[in-house]
Amino acid sequence: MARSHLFVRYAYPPNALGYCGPPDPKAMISASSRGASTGDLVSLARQFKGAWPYLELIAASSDIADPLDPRVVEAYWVGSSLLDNVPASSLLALVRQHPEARLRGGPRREDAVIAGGVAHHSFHVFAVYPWLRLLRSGRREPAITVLERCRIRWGQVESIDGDQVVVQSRPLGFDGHELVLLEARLEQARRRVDRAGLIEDLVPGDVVSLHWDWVCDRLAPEALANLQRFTARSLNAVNASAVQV
Amino acid sequence: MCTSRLHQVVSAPTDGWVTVENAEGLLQRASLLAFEGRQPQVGDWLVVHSGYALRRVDSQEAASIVGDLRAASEAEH
Repeated sequence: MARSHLFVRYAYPPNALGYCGPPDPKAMISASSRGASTGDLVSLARQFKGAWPYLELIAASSDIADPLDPRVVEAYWVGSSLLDNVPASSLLALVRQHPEARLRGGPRREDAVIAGGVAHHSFHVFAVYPWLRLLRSGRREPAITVLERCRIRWGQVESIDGDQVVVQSRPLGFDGHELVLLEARLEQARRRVDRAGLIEDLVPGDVVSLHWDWVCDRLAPEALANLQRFTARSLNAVNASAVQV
Repeated sequence: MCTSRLHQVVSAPTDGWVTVENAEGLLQRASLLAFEGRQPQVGDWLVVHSGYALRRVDSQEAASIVGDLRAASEAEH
């Protein structure tokens, strides 16, 4: 696979699992390849009902015409200063109108916005998804696993064996009241299947991002700092708000 | 990224799993590990997220939501 569009690198893993996006994950890869029309990718990306409203909001807040502009896509998945341009009132409106809202019973996600939530993927996972509410109601599994796998996490490559990569990363935990990051441990992730991968030329020591069971991208120091900062901000928002998500 | 989606049960649950169909006609299996309430039955509408069925939605509410989703989808195309 040629280097994929940034959106595809992060959106492919849950799409391949059948959790969101268009029915055929290969369509994402095809649309991302060199020579494919931009319109194809936009059409597919709009089918990610969870992510697309955030991309539109981040783009509009920074006067960027294209929601798939790499600056916008990076802001949503990894985090960047573009998120500071998104008014809290706009994020509040998004959360209230999000497709998720109609399928949830009596949520108070607005509290998490007020407590400092931002238009970052981690905020959507922690505050908008139903899993933290289930976790707080005592249903530890699969809630903690879904929260962990669905957030974008970071780690350092320890070793590479064929299509598999061993990464040291800090997992998400729940202490009975708050979501926290635990001590680092080793986990296994995919870098490619059938010689197709989202990122090539990995070497031990690389710092990478992960989504579900895939390595998505190599993170530069600034990107790592942003991912850590915005993940911490989202954790603080849901922990401090006592939001009944 | 992902969203909760409405799915209709198309076959009786077995071994903690149920086969469901979404509003676009796509079949998939969903785990009942996180399901709240009595065992789902064929024809029930369920909220499914990340491969897990979470709860049942009554048929009237489901029809309303599916109708809205289809209208929104048609408006986009």
